[in-house]
Amino acid sequence: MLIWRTLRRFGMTEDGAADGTQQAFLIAAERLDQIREGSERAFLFGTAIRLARSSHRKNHRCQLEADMDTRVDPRRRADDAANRRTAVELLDRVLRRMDEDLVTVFVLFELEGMSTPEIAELVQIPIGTAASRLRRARQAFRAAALRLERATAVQARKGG
Amino acid sequence: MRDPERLLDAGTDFEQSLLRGALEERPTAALTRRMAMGVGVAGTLSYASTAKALMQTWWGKATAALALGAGVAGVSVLASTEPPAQPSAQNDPAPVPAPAAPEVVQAEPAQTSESKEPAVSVDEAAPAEATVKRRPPSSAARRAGPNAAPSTLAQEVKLLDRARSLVHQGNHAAALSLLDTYRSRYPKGVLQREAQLLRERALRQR
Repeated sequence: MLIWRTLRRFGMTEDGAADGTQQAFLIAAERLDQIREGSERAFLFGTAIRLARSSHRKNHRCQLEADMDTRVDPRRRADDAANRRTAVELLDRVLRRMDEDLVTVFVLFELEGMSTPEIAELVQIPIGTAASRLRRARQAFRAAALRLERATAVQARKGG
Repeated sequence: MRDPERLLDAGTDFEQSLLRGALEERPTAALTRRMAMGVGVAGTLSYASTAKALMQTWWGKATAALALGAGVAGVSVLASTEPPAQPSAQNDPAPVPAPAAPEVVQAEPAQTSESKEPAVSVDEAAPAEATVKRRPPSSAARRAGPNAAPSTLAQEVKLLDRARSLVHQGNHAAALSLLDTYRSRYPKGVLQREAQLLRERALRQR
């Protein structure tokens, strides 16, 4: 489930994320004897992230076009608990505008609850770099979320 | 160096709603079954009482799935005469793989959607020391037609279990021969992916 969710945040469709999850587990199964004890989770996440990035690169153009096609009506309020899907779509809009490296750190920290040192080990970057990326990711997310919230409010006023 | 407080707790209402939405997102029941079938564990984990305790931990879930999915090990429980559970509604959230009634032996005839993501090879995804090539993933559920009855699946499982044993015994030629039998007997078998993995393993170890 966590792997599927992570793949989704990297812009994969629900179907694609399911295939990616299968693939990550199958890869891990193949490498079971090579995975260090205690780092199984990191291996799975690492594999999923590589799959997502590779897929994203191959699919970048389609993704952008799909993005244009599936824009969410900003009048639909994200804080409507009954419409989780809207929130997910809005979040993905925000994440799609962020740098891939920042998305990785952001998703692992904010959604998967990993600490900076854990992320650093998983992504194989220094802890300082992970912390710096996290700071930038949060800034980017917060700025984008604020813009989106304001746009939503303006649209709601016009609509109302 | 201290980590900042997570936005899920410290963000604005709007930020929190975005993040919470993502956290609450779940694959549909059909996708969940598809993923479970993909690693050859569907039904198995939910069936074994010993697996239940293992399922309590995050890695318990993963390792159980991996251990069983790696070689279709232990899936002989699928040969059980227990009737499969009715598939739940398409949009029901379903944890993976949750201890529940044995299911997944029935395919989803309506599951015809194709993934939009391009396939990615193992070499691209796995760590640098990767040497194994693998076919891109495909959904077992998609492969399974409406005729994928439990009894057929049980036979598939049995055949692959035997092939796996032969691989473990080092009898690769016999294993490959059995896998050829599997391929000709079940050209659209639900466990084709597992058969392919076994074949690759047998070829590598030969």
